[in-house]
Amino acid sequence: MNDRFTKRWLLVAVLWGAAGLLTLGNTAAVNRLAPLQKVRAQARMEADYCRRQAARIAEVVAKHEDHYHAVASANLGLLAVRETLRGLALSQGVNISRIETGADQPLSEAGVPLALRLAGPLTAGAAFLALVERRCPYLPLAAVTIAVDGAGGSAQFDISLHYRFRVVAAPQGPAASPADAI
Amino acid sequence: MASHKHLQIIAVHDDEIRFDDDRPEALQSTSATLGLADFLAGRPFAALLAAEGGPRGVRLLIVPDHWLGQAAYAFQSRKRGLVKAFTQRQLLAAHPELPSIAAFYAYRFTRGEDENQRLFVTYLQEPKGYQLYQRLEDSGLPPHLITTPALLWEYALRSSLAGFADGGHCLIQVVGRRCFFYFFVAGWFLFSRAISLPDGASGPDDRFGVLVYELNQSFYLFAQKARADVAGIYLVAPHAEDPALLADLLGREVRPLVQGEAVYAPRDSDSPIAGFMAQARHLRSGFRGIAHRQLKRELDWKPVQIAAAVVGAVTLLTIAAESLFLRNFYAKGAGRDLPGVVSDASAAETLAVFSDALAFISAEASKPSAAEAVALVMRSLPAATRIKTLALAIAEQPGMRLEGVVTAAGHEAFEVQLTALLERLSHGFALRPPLGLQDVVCQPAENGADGPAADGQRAYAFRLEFGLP
Repeated sequence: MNDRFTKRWLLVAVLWGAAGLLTLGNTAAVNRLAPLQKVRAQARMEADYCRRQAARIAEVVAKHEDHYHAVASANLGLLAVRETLRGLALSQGVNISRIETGADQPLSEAGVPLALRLAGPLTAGAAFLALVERRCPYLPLAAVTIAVDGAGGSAQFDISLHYRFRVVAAPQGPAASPADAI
Repeated sequence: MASHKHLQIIAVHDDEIRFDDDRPEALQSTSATLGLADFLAGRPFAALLAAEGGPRGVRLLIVPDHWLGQAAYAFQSRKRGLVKAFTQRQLLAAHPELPSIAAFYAYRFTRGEDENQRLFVTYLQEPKGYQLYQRLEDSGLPPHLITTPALLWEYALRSSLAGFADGGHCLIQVVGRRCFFYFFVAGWFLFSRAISLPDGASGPDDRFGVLVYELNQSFYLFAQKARADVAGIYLVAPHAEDPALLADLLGREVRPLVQGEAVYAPRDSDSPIAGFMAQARHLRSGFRGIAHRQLKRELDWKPVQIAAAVVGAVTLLTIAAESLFLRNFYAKGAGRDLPGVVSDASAAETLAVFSDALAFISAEASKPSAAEAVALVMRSLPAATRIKTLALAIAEQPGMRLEGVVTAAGHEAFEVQLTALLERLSHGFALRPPLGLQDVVCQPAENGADGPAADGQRAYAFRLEFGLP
């Protein structure tokens, strides 16, 4: 009699105990899943955005790459830059008297400072600056000092540039070619 | 006592024990009779009821009236725990030879003549009753309720007589050669007596003559116990004319128990419960009795336990299904790539590159253009103004330093020229706040190339510095 009574309570206790334990397990599983779900939702949003904006992303990334000169080596890149600058100066009727790199600066992809001195008419020098800015985004101007010589319109330009490049297996893109740049 | 599908009656009368099994659904009834002493001694018997009753049967044990005792106590509380402790203590003190008595009692509350609450306890006082219960339990037939013929009659009369709860009442039951007197007061059983009718009685007059004497003795006893007179006398007898005969002999009105006659008419037995057993379906609920406290507790809690087990099982199944779903979901979600071309990692990487590129391009675009700045300065120069030096900082803290010479007729004209230059520069470079004369350092130009002009004009040197947005 009492045995049956106790057994029934035991059965109830076992059922509810198991239900309680499973509930705890489920709660833990839900807690584990919640951050994962958040990450997955974030990743899904990112992936969707990437798919929808693939063209724009490619455009922006390509534009960003234009700001770095893809070269086989830093020295070759500098050589190309020198020739490019001289070619641009020649095309605008100004004369480059000096191109210097920072003597104590290592040639790293962080960038190489360049100092440029040229002389010529003020308007021609301004046109040269515009051409460098348009054609050579990897050669951003850091500072420009213009000294005008009297009333004749002749001026001396001291220009500081920052050469940005990336060493790649083979030069890529039109900006890598000085001839194309000009 | 709740209604059940299957009723089993175990009745003790004289020295016999009778098992009756009633199956309403099959309209089938079986019975067996054994000697009580043999049964208590453990003599093997066909486990008729145990085999056929099954666990769903309700077993009713009907014992002689004198096996149950009654006691009344003045007790004010109705709290179950207090009543239980008090009752058990009182019973054990009164019957130390019956240690199990604490498990075999029932109680009710009444109001005494002084309007004080009284606790009325009914208990199993016959030692053979305990032996019988143990034997039945050992045989797998523990009775769910123990009652007596008097308590059955109490219920039957309460159901059929309108004024039964008022005053004293006497029921006379003639069964074969036995006659039973049951006395009730205020609707509750008080005491009973059993009389054997003489063997040599030739007719009803002889038989009832013996009864009249015993009845008068019993009325006197009732008056002493109940301090009340018997208001109604009822007779259950085999012959229709019996009530009138007894009334003549007794000199009082005797009413036949018409309503109950069909139900309680005895058969070929001297047992006072023979009629009840013939109509076992009427023994379903309402009457008083004693249940073993543990068994009663078990029966009381059984629906709760079953409900709790069923709800627990359903809950467990639901939660188990949820658990399986979660495990499945977790297992699938943990290493799964996102649908589409771009995987999680490459999407994040692409976005990081895109973000960096966008920030870089924005930063570059925000820098002033040297060519445009030079061109703007040149366009902004008034006619008589020359630039001597133009220094432009672009990379860090964009700004411009401008040195020049203005040729004017006097300082007022110089101021006009200078103001025009400042306005054009402010407008061209969108300077906020715009440049003012206070931002300009000016002085007469040195002699020489920048000295006074031949036409009386004077040269004024100026220097100007400002930041570029």
